[in-house]
Amino acid sequence: MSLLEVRNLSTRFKLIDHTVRAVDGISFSVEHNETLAIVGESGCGKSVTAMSLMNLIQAPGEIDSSSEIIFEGKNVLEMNDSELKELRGGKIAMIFQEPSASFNPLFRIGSQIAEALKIHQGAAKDEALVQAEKLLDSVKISEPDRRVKNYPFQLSGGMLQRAMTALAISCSPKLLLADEPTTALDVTIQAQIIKLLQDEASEKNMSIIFVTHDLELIDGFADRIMLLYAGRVFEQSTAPEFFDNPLHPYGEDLMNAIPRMGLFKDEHKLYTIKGQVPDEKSKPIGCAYAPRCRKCFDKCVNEEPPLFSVNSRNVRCWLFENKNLSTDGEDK
Amino acid sequence: MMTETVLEVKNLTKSYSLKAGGFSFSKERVHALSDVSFSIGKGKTLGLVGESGCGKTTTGRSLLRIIEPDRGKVFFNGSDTNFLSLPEKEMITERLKMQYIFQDPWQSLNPKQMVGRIITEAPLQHGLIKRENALEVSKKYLDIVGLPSEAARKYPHEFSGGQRQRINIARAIVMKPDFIVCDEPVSSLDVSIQSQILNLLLDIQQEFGTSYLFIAHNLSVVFYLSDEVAVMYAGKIVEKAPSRKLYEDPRHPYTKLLMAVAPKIDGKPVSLQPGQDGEVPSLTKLPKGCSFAERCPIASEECRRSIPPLKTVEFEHKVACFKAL
Amino acid sequence: MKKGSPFEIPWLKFRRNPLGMISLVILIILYVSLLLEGFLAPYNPSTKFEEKSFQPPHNIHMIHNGKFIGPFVYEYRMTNTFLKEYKVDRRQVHKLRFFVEGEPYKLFFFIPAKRHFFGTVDGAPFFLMGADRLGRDLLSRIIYGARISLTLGFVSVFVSLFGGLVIGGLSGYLGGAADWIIMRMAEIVILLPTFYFFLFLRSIMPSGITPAQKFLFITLILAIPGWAGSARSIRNWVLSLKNRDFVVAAQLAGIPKMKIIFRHIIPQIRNIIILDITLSIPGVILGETGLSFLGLGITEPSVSWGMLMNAALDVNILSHYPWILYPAITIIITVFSFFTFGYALKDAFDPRSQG
Repeated sequence: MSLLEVRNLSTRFKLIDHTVRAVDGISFSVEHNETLAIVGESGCGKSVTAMSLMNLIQAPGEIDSSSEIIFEGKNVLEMNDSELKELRGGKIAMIFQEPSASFNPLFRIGSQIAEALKIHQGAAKDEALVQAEKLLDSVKISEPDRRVKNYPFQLSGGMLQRAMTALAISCSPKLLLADEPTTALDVTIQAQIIKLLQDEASEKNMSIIFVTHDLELIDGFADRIMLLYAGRVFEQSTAPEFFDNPLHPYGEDLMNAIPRMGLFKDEHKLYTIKGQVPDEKSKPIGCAYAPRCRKCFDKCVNEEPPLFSVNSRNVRCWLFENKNLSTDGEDK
Repeated sequence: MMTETVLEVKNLTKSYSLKAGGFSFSKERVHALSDVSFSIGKGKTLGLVGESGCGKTTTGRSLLRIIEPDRGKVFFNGSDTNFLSLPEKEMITERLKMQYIFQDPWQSLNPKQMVGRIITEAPLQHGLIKRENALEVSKKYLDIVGLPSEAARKYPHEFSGGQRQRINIARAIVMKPDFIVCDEPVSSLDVSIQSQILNLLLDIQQEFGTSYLFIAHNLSVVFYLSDEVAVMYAGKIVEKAPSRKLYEDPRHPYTKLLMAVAPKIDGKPVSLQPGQDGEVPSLTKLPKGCSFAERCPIASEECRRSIPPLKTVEFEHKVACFKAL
Repeated sequence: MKKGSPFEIPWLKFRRNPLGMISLVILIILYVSLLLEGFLAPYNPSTKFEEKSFQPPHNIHMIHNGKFIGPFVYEYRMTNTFLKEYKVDRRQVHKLRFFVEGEPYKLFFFIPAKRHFFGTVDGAPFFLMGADRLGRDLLSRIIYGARISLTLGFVSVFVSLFGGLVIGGLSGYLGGAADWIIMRMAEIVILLPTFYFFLFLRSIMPSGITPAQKFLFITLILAIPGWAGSARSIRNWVLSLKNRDFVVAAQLAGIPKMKIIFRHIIPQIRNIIILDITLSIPGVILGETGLSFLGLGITEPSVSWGMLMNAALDVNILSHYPWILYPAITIIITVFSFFTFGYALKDAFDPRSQG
C-alpha cells in the first residue's frame, strides 16, 4: 500500500465574482521512502495541493467532496479535529518558504521544538529540551546549546530554515511536505538545506513531497516528478525519465527556456515560450497550454486531453493519444 | 579594450551606521561596499553575481546615487567629471541617460497610474516629447517591448508579472539610455516568462547598443547574458573575468563554491564539500583578513591576517585570493 | 458601479453590509434634505408665532366628532402665560395637507417658491416637534440647522486634511530633522485636550464679526486640532511608501518632490484618506455642538444643531419642555450614521476580507 494516495483532488476558491479552480482533479500517490516533486509555475496549484493534503484549506477555499486523500489507509478529509491535530506535525510535517510561518516570534526556538515533542510524543519538559538541542545539532546548527535559548529573530534565514526543518522532523514524520523551502534562500544555503533533507529522509525512512517552481533544483533529488499547469496534472514521470526526455511539450519547452549553466548568448538562443500562464478567466476550452504550445493542433484547441499513459508515465497531451494503448496505465 | 567605455566606476564604497533613527548613536557600521571598481563598454553587459547582502544591489543603486555612496568615482560616457560629485540639478539631468530596471514588477509601477502615463512621465517632465504625442510614444515603446497598444490605457494591476516587467523595460528605454542597471529583472518571474524577458533585453541591446549592469544571484543566468562577470562577496569583487573564461576556469574558491552548488540538470544530487556549510559573515564585523577565509577549504594563516587584493592573474582575469594563481 | 473601476469590488462588498447600507441611505437623506431645506421645513427658522412660546408638539388626529376628515390638528391655547401651559381646544380644527402654500423661500437656495412639503390649509401654526421659547417651529429650525452642522463638518475636515496632507507628506518624504520637529509639534497638538483647545481658540476670536465670518472662524477652530492626527498617519504612510520602487523610479525620472508626493504617494492612500474623512466628520460635528451648546459657537441669527441644544442648558426648561431635546436625536443619528458608514467602508476597502 502506498503511504499516501490522492484521488481526484479538487480545490476551489469562491471569490466575490468568480470561482477559481486552483486544483482540478489531481490524482497521485507517494510511496514509502520516496521523494515526489510537484513542479509548476505560479498559479498552477502546487501550493494549494500541499495545503489540501493537510486539510488546511480555509474559506473562501474548499475541497471538493469527491476528493480523497488516503494517508496510511485513512481519509484525511474525513478526520475530525483532534485526529487532524495529531496528524499535522506528527506523521505529516510541513516546512514552508517562510520560516516565520512555523515559529512564534515571542518564544525561544528550543521551547517551541520542545512543545511539539510534548504534544506529539508526550515527552517530559526537561527531556524535551534536551532532545530539542540534539535535533538542532542534527540539522548542523552550530552551538546548539546556545541556539535553543535564541529567539527566532536572532537566527539567520538559513539557520531558521534548518531550525524549522528540525521542528518538522522532531516527531519522526512519515511524510514531509516541503513547500518551496529554499526559494528565499541563497544558493549555498539552498544546497545545504537540500542536502539536509536528503540525509534526513534516508536516515529516517521519510517520504518527501517537495513543491517547487525550480526544475533544476529537483534533478538528482526527486525520485518522481509531477508537472502541474493551470490546476491540472500535465505529466507524471520518474525524475530521470523526465529530465532525459520530457513527454509533454510544456516540459520540453521549460527545459529549453532555462538558461542552463554553460550556455552563452553568443552561441545559443533561449527558447521563448510565448504568452503567459492563463488565469481562471482566460483558461482555454481545450488544453490549457494550447495557446502557447508550438506543437498545438486543432484538437488541442477544441478539446481538453485526458491523462494518457505511456510506458508507465502519464501525460496530458493529444500527441500521445494513440500511444495510450501500449501499456495499462495507473489512470483509470 | 577597443570598445568605447560607457561607465567607469572607481573605488565605490558605502557603509551604513546602524542607528535606529532619531537621536540614537551607535559606532557599529555595516560595510556594504568596499572599493568596488569596474568599467562597462558600449553595448556590453557586466554581470554582477553574489548572494544576498554581498553588495550587488547597493552597487547598482549607489552608482546611480539612489543611495549616496561614501566615496568613489563614477565617470559616465567618457566625461572627466565625477558623476558622484555633481550638484543635484546637474546630476538629475545627467542621470536621465542611465536607467534602472527593478527586481519586483509588483512594486515598481505606480498602481494608480495608467501604463501610458508611466512610460511617458519622464520624457514629459523634461520636455523631450510633447503632451499631444505622449500616447503615440507610449504605444511605440509598448510595441518594442511586445505589448499591445491598448495597454497604454490600462492600469498595472491588469497585467501579469512578466508583462509588468516589459512595462518597466519600456519605461527605461523611452529615455534612450546609454546604460541600464538591471537589478534581478527575472528572478521573481516564472520560468516560462524568464526567457521572454532575457531575450527581450538581448534584442534591445542589439538594437540600441545599450550597456547593462546585470545584477543577479543566479549564476547560470549571469553567465548566459553577460560579456564579463564579476563575483561579489561581502561587499567586494573577488573575481572578474569574461563570462566564458570564468565558467571554464574559475579561480576563486568562492566562485567554485557558487558553481558547485548552483542547481543543474545533470542527474546528480547536490554535492557539498566538507566545510562548505558556512554562511556569509556579518558585515558589521568583517574579519581582519579575507572575508571568505572562514568558509574556505584552502585558507591559510596569511588569508586570515591580511586582505588579498584584486590582482590580474591572466589577461582580463582578476582574482582576489592569495591561493589562486 | 462601473466594471473594472477601482471601487467595483469595495462596492460589491459594501452592498452586503446592511448596517452600512442603512447608514448610507440615512446620510443621503440628510444631505438631500439639506438641499431641500426650504421645501421640507414648514416655516422659516426665524418666524416667531405670538402666544406660542414653548407650545408642545401637536398631536395629529384623523377623526373629528366621530367623522373621518383626514389628518388635522386641534388648536392649542395658552392658559398660563407664566408657566407656558397649553390646553387643547377641541372645537377649532386645522386640516393638514401636503404641498400647501406658505412662507416664501428659495428652492435650492435660488428659485423663489412658496409650496412647502406639508402644512395647515388655513395657515395656522403647526408644530410637529413643538416650539421654542420665542414660539419658533423646532422642526424647521432643525432642518435649517443641518445647513451649518452638516457642511461645517465637511469643510473643516477638508481643511484639516489638506493641512495634514501637506505637512505629513513633507514630513515623511523629507525625513530627518524636519520630520522630527514637525512630528513633535503634532504630538503636542494631539496631547492638548481638544475641547479646551477649542475654547482657547474661541477666546481669541474677534467680536463683532458677521455670521459668515463666524462660520469660517469656527470651521478653522475645529480644523486646527485635526491636522495633527492626519499629518501623523499620512506621514507614516508616506514613510512606508517613499522607498517603494515606483517612487524611486519617479526620482530617477527627475520628477520634483511635491509632484512625487501628490502624484505617486498620496494616490496610494486614497482609501485611507476617504476613511479618515468619514470617521473625522462626526468628531467635528460633536465639536461644533459642544461649542454652540455652551453658546460659544454659532449664534443667532444663524441656526445649528448645537445652538438649538443651547436651549436645553437649563434643567428647569428641559424638565418642563422636553421636546427641545429633539435636535439631540438628529445629532445622534447623524454621528452614528457616519461612524457606521465609515466602519462598513473600512471593511469594504480591506483587501483581506472577502465580504
